[in-house]
Amino acid sequence: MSKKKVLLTTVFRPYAAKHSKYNKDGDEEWLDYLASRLTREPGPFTLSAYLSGTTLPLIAANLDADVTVLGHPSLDEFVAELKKGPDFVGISFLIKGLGKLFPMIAAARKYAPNAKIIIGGFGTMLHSLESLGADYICKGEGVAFFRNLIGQNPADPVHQPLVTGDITLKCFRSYDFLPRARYAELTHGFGCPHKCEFCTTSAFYGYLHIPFAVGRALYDAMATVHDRMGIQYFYLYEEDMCLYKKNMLEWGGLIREDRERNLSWTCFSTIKSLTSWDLEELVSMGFSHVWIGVESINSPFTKSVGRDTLDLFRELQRYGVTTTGSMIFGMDHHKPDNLREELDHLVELYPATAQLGTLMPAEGTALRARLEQEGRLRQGNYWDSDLYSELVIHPEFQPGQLRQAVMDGYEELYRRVGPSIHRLARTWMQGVRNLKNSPHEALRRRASILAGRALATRPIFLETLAYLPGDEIRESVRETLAWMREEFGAPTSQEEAQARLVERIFALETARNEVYPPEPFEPDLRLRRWASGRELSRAEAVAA
Amino acid sequence: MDTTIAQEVKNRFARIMHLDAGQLDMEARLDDAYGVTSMSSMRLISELEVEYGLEIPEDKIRSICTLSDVVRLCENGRG
Repeated sequence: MSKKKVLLTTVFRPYAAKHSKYNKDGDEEWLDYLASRLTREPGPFTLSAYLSGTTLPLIAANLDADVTVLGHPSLDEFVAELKKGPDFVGISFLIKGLGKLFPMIAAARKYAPNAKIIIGGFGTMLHSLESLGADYICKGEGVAFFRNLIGQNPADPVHQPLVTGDITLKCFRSYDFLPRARYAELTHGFGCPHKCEFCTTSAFYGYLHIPFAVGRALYDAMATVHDRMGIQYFYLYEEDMCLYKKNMLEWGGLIREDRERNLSWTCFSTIKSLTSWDLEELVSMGFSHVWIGVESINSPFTKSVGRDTLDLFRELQRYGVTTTGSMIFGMDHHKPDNLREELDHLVELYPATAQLGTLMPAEGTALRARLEQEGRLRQGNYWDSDLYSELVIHPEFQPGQLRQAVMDGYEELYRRVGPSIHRLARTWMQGVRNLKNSPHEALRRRASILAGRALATRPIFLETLAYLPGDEIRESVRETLAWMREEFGAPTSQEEAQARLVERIFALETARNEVYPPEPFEPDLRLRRWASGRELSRAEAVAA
Repeated sequence: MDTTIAQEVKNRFARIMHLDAGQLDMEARLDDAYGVTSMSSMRLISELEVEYGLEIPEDKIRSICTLSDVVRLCENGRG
């Protein structure tokens, strides 16, 4: 019997096209999650990283089928694949991509009339999606969902696909010769048992945890990627990584014992689960960055129970662990006055990056059910909503106030703690100074990894103090540079040359942005194919 | 009015809205008579765009009140 044919795709490009019913202004900016979501900084220090998209390759690598994955196809490229007669067409979308589903579903019905159409992804947190005309809406875990569809055992072992990306400064993007920090994405698990009432993903997974990489499997996947691509840094998808101590001790212990590869990782975690760890142990296992949903000083969620938040952030930073702190504006206890305290708190936490957002009453969450009962859901077009939309009626805020508070918050954060790239460098330097003389060999090794990262940023700051937002931040950067001098000596002539180049790029890009608007980013097609879990080579994929 | 296009519009609309195509009034207001939402009208327009290779601008979609309007847009789009 021939294998089922599965076509998986993102929504179609272009993203930057204006005045189209399928594009809203600024759609393309969302592809750069560091610049648009986790920093929102003005100026040339802004960090940039484009979404790689792990979920579709993860599904593709785990189906006993012939699977094609399209990343950012044009509508024509999508239609060309439809004409090959897939049995299943899966379209993954974010809220902003909803409008593009209409022509994609219509095209799938016309050009692949026998195919079953599945929509999935974060966009499925919207309501009334049944009227789109897809055959299935996948709101949960996609691998098992598709395995069930094609008649495969959903409990078959899971393999990790190769998904990589890079980080650089946004203004360096057009200079290909400049080095970029590379990373790979791996999946540890999905779902979360904390049951925060607003949380979409945990609601989608029925508040259950679905493990993907058990025991040494995660370490093996990291080692494989390292040996193949030379990548040492990993984004690990998991809702609350530090909750799974037994599993972590197994793969983390292997990382600690691996003196050759020097692997590091970033994850999401909570105050509650981090409280149960000795941070030295975590750091020795490669723990490098953590996203903590702080939500509010007076967070009502059980995930926030445990150590004092400020104390935890400071200890993490002493070990060189950089942080993302996220907050929600517009919770029930918020008033215009206490939002100010929330922002002061965030400034004090000194996260390397931050996310500020408003309450999103997503379909299927306890929050939406409660607000519906209280008559507090704002009517409107949810397609145009984003992280800052005011979809909840709040008695203390007029329409527009919360969105403005978020925007002002990002601006103030930048003004008071400076650019993210410096917050990263400063935290790494804290780690270097604290760990370099540790009695534990594994921690001294981490110090040397952090030293490499910090040193790589030195040329960015040497000649660019004028671009920083204010004297206080300039002083902070000078101090960080002094720490580097103390630890690594004076800048080399090569670093000084690099610093002059950076200053010229900053000047050029700043002047160019004053005269011409920045060119919008438009991604190319990413085409990948799998045959029963084996990824085809690029040549094979194009020929297929 | 092109009767082929009119029939196509009726059939598609009936399928999307779970109605009987034979009972549709081409001049009835879509929102009042049939409870059309922005989702269902976008779906209808997208299907017609793909079927006939058209591109109907957003401002034209906003001006649609009846099924006859939809048919006219398709006729004009086909030139």
